[in-house]
Amino acid sequence: MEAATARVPAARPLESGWRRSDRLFVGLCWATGILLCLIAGSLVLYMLFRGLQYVSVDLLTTHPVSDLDQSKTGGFLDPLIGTVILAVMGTLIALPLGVGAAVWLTEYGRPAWLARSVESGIEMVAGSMRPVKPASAEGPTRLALHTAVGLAPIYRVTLRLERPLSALDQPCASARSPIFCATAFFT
Amino acid sequence: MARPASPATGPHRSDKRAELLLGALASVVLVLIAGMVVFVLAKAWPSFSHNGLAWFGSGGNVDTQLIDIFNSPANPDKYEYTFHAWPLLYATALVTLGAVIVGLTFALFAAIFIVEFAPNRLRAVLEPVVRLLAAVPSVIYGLIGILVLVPFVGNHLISQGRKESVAYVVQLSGNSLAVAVVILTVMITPIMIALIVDALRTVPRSWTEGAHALGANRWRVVWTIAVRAARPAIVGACVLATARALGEAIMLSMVSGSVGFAPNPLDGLTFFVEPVRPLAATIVDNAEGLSVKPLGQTLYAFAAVLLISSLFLSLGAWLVRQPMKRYGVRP
Repeated sequence: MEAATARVPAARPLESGWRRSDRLFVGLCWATGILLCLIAGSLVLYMLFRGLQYVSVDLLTTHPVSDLDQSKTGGFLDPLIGTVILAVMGTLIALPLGVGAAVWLTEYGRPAWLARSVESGIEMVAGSMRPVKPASAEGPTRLALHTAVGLAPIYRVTLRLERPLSALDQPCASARSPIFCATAFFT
Repeated sequence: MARPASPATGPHRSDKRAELLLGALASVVLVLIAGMVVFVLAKAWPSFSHNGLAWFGSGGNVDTQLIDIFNSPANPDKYEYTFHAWPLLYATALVTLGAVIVGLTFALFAAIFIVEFAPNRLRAVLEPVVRLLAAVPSVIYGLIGILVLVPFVGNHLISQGRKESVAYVVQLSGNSLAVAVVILTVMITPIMIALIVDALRTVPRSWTEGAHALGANRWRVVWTIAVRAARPAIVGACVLATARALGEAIMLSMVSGSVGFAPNPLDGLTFFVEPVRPLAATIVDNAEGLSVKPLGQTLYAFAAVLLISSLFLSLGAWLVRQPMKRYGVRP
């Protein structure tokens, strides 16, 4: 018993105090968090302030017309409908493909080489999808297909992160954010 | 079905079937991607084969080269292909690296704040804010850049003297490297924050509790235990953000100036306000000229470069993650 206590080295003061650098970093954390809120707030306010004053129900429900005077060509019903059609088509193709691939990757992924290449392929296309899209799009189908492939990584990421015991019933819950993101893919 | 569920027959068989079906779906995705890569490479080949390695080098003015390609004669034997992409490659690298480096530091602190230090009320605001910022379409960021930031930089931050000092080479209008990097940072940071926050949350509680018990303060615990364990996920977040930044086209074509100019770091502060022309933005700028065959092939060459660099990015990140995975949290 005595030998055991003798072997314990003299206690050093624990590093529990807040060093100056620690305080600095926590301050930085606060700054970034508040800055984030400010950026988002100013973004939304600016758009509301500058944009909303011109938006009217009339504008949303009339078709665009051609006129030499640009102020009379208004009406964006057509682009609105187009956006909706594209988003729906893209999501319809993306849902089974993206969710299926994501579930397979997380739950099975058995021939490792195949899983590895699917993962790399998806990561590769996740970002560079956009510039390729305008260069090769030859119609709405193609666009929708590309979105399908582009959406897969998002599904995968959401699935991986939430990683439930059985990933199979999860896609419905985690699909919400990608669907939200789908609009971003079309713009 | 009142069949007894023995692990050897019933559920196992359906599991096998699910595996095959889902594996087939994943393979479809892979085949689609591979097909697309082959398509882009095949389309891009003439541009590469005419220029050889000089394609990646510098020489001449990129903008006039693009115009020459656009105006090349109708005879396929006389197509103009001469192109030296260095300013575009350089601009892409500058903008992407700048945004990812700034964004990563920002995202790391913001994620730590959300997970560890934010009071509950602020956290409840911050999480939707991050989601909102991630979901804003890039055109809107471009619009804000072109309506607010570009005029501000052009009118207030660049002095007349500075404009005149480089007027014989390039015009400083506010469309600049700095604006592009700032907006791109705002665009990619939310993705990184979301991924890093999720990774920090999956760090086992016992690890951080152990550190707390040893007397480390909250910052030390987050920084030395949680962030370290989450490293693979942080690398993954960087890859996704880099891929997105590489591929960002619309916003960059709106704010970066679209002048094929390679900013020189030796110019001092002027460096940051010089216009650039990244690859992806150039594709958008020239999209109307796609029907001209050689121009189309040159644009496909840009796409090929972007695709291949993303592939290497993904493979590189995988290699980097390997040694970290042992103690890390799964990304």
